[in-house]
Amino acid sequence: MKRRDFLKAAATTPVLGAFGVALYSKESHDKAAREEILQLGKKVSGTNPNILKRNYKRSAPASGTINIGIVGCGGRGKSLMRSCGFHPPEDPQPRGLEGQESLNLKLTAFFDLSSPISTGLSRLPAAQPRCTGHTRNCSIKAI
Amino acid sequence: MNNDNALNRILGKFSCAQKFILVSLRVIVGWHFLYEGYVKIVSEGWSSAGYLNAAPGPFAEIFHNMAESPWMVSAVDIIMSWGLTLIGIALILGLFTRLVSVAAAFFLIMFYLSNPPWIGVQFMAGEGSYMIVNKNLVELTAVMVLLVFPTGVIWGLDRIFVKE
Repeated sequence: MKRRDFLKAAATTPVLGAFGVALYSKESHDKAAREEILQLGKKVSGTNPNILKRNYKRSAPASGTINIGIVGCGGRGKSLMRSCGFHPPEDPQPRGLEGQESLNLKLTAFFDLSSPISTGLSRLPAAQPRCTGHTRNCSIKAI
Repeated sequence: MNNDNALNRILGKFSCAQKFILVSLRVIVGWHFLYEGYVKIVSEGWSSAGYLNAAPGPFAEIFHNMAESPWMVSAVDIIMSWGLTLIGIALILGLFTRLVSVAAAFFLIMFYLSNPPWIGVQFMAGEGSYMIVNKNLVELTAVMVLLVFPTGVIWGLDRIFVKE
């Protein structure tokens, strides 16, 4: 085999090396970010400027209930709610959740635009939740 | 000499830009497959069961039946994780490109049919907006291009196996 043909045959092999370098860099960054979250409230984030010390002073125990709120109950909001274990009344059989342990989530608030928009974003009769959870930990408040 | 004639016959009609872009397409698709497979291998507790159970559309029952069998789920998990990884490595290296492209196309067809963005199907929403065409279909088309062009012979280990 000629040297030129060998070089052309092996031309894309260094891409695997680049992949390895990128992977190592990403794993290192992700590990540092995870360790930062475990150090909540103790020091300012060095890897993610959006993580502010004051936001994580209180941490829930491992078995505690986590309160969540959702802004926007459209397609993405419904998908996220399904991922959390909540599902709409017309779909009583949850899909993809069999055998999975409870996440101890409690949906405590939701926010979405109501119609007509000119009446403002306050408590309105039309502002009904689209996702009424049918799981153990669901209680919803309209805000 | 005979090898040169064979290579010229296969590659002579492509310009440098065409060769570069075709090989880049192969490498990028391979990178994507490799990382998808790697993440599934190293993620503790990852399983395809949830995804199979949640499959919507006209083929939902097939995927739901697959999820009901523990051994089938285990087999799917191994095939998916290692299959994606090996396909990715092979595409990046340009080794057995056509065979690997067929395998990649099979995977992408399964991914597409397990969550088809069709009208009337309540498919699992991710990032982006889709109607019939989603990223799986786009990548499937890209793999079809790899199938019909000899990218492994241009710059890849398939060049070693070219004979007159």
